[in-house]
Amino acid sequence: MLEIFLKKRVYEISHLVKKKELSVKEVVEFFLDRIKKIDSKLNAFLYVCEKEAILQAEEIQKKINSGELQNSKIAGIPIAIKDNIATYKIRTTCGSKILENWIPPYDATVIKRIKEAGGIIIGKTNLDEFAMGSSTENSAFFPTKNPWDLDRVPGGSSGGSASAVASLMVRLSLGSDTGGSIRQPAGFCGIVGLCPTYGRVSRFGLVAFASSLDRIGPFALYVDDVADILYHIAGYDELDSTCPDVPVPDYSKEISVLEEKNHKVKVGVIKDFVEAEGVDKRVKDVIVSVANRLGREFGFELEYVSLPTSKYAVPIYYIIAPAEASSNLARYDGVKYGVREDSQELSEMYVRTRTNRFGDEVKRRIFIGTFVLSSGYYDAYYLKAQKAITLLRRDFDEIFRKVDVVICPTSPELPFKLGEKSQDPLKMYLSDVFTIPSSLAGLPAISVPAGFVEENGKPLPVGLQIIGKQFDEVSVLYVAKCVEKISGCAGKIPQDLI
Amino acid sequence: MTGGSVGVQDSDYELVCGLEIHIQLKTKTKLFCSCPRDSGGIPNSNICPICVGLPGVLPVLNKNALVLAVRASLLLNMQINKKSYFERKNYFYPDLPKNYQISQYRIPLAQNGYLEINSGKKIRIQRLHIEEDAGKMIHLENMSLVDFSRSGVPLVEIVTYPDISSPEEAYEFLTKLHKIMVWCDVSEGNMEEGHLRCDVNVSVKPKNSPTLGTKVEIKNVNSFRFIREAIEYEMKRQIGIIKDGGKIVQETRGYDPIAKKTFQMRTKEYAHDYRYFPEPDLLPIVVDDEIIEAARKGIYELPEEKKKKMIEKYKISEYSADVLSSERWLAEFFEELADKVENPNLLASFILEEVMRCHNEGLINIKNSEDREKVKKYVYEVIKAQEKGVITRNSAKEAFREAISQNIDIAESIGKRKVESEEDKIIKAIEDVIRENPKEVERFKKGEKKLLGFFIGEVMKKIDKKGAPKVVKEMLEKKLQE
Ligand SMILES: [Zn+2]
Repeated sequence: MLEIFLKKRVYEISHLVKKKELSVKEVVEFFLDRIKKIDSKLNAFLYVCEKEAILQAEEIQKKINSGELQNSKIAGIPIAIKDNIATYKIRTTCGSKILENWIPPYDATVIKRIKEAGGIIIGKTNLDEFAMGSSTENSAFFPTKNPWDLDRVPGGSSGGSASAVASLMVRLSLGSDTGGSIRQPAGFCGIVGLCPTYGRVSRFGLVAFASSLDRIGPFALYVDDVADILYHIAGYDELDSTCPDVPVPDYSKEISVLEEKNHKVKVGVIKDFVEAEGVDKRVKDVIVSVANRLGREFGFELEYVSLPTSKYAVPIYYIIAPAEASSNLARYDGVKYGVREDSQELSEMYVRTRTNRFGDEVKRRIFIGTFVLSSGYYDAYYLKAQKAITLLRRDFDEIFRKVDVVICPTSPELPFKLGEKSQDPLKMYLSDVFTIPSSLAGLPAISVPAGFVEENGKPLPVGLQIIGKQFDEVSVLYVAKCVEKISGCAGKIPQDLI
Repeated sequence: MTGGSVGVQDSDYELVCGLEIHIQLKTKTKLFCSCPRDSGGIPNSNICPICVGLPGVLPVLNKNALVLAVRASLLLNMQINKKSYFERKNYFYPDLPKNYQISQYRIPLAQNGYLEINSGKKIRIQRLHIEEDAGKMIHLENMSLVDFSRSGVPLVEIVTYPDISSPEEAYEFLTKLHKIMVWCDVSEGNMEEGHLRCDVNVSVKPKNSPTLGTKVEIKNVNSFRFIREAIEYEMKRQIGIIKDGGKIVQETRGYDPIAKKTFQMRTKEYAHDYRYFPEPDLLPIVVDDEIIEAARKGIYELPEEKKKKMIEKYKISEYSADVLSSERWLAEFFEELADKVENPNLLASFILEEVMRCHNEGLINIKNSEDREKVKKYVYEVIKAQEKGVITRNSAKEAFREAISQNIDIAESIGKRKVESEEDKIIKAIEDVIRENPKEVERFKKGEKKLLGFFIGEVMKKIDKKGAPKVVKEMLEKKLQE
């Protein structure tokens, strides 16, 4: 059984289900069992929808029996959902005390689409509170651990979704990425994590952190799997004005076409990132070696490119994201959500509720955001940051005139230890230094396992990031698949979890 | 300042007044979700995840609201920005579900317009923008409740320059603004339901002084008449303070229509910093030709043009024209008939007297297109009958009322009330005389022609001598020969 669930691609498992060689119940029970056995060590889940999943399984089995869902690539497949994506009648906390008991009366668009395709919501995964963080230590409930080393963080903020896939508690999960929150944990956990073009996947139902940067994307063990779930969740949504009507290709089909003709792409290697100070030498070596093999084994043309404005990306990000967050999080005021702190005065009720129910990192960002939007400071911070984004986009445009995709390390370092950075926000912020530029530019980017580095006898994964042109997920996925072939890391999970 | 000087007259000061008006747009649905705009009375019965701002939801602009806002801008002769955008106005209040209001700030939908009042004076409009309404708070003894039914209802905010220099001008401006917005279907304009709300900025300054006085804001006044009264009172109050050597405090005041006085609501207005920034969940507002065209479609001949036309073309009285142009459906009703009848004056008074009475009594509803066509036909028939002299003014009213209230065919109702013609009367009299005097007829027929004079006399008696003897004679001769 484990062999099937570890080695087969998701569409193949779904195919077995559709051929009735596997029942939906068998699939769901296999993963529920794994969760029961493993999650107590990892704490990836905030809530496991055991009953709901079994009910969904029965329903989907009926549909399959009556010949429906034949075109779905994910029918019968359990999927874990980051707990900042609204799920009808299933508690959605955003990892925060202030939404501890919130039960959405509606499904996010991605959830609706997964259900329509016969996917099964199996649980809600842990995250940094309101997706603010890079280690999942900012969850108001508990930290999640990295399956490769339980002393280390899984990355964040989608640490729960990454950890769950990396330990084979699920084969697919959804995360959200604002400044790297899918790619960085994918890199830390040694799996594939895709952050699609801004607007490729509807945000309706994703609890907003920074609206102009937030994106939903999938985690999986294989590139094929993220391509297939993207196919189901992407596309125009009348409920999201920022989700345009751009056709959704059958990604895996497009990729096979490219593979068959051994399509050559031009790959830019971001010099500023590979050679940056503070990049772990071992990480750099893995990335450079894979890059060279892309040239040698696939005949891709490599070019070192420069992204000069990227050095401003982190400061820009820490103006725009908190600014939007300070407004997005204003609704959590004790009037409608959270346990209200009693008070005679309205303003005091607000202050006490918010002081007691928000965590430190959330409050820190609300402060920053409120400050940068204040009258007299708006032009100097927010407006200037917006102008800088325009320059950054121009930098990318320039590069993409010469190359098809660019690559760099996902993170400058290996997964760090729990508690190592939680007392130093600036250090924590810098762990997203390579993911933030494409976040600001709205470009599609993926983290794919490039290799492992041994530390204290434990293998630790290194992620390689591939960034593409707007809506050109196909090239990004195609190159990711090439990297997957080179590294041979796909489908690897820690030995003790097999 | 000239405060404190002795012998200063009120007329030495002048009013400087500007208005900030919120108008609810007449859309089917709310501004960013598909809830109906026009909610029933039950609190929170008209809400969805979007208009209560639940975590994760996103707004999508109602295009029709944009069309109506553009129409309002065109009606106010404004310069429309081809591209503008929404911003978030951040402040905490329980009736604001997201604790920010989606509004416009740095670039409004339209700017620099005016509305001309009766005197020919142009009151300049500074800006017009689109925004969402908030919910309502209901304060009970020891708790406050929130009703979100109104949350997300589309509004335009219109800000005038401080061009208003008398309470009367403010009244006139608002009345006209209200009339044209209702006329062109921009708003339902229901004052009781707060479809048009107005805040007034009032200050006074010595005549011809270039320096503006400290302004006081009057809020929550819900009728144009009270706004006029409030400005009047506030003007006097401020002049009084200045004359006594005092200083006007910048504050927000309310108006008590019973005491006819403004009163203090808040002093030292808490300096809000709304931290406006562009709404990232919405695309820029682009006003393209398609939107402009749709907006223009609803712009009809305005009340004043209609009135002028009625007086000039149909020669009806100014009073009638005034009333008939008070609402668009009424003006159109009149005009459609006026072109078909010979005597538009007769038509005008019939509509104003009888048709409106039946409409107000609820017997008919002329706003409803089905009723309207039927009524139009009936009115046409009775006016035609009146013009021919077939029925009198009073029986025309009776016939109309009977036809509509008892569902009788209008021709039948008119037929029952036909006035006999002179000819009919004479014939009837002649026949009577012939019947009553058989012997004389016999004699006449035998050749006693002088009896004709007797017959004429008898007939004339019967018709009260109202016919011309010559006509009676001719008709008699004809009849007697049969
Ligand atoms: Zn709604």
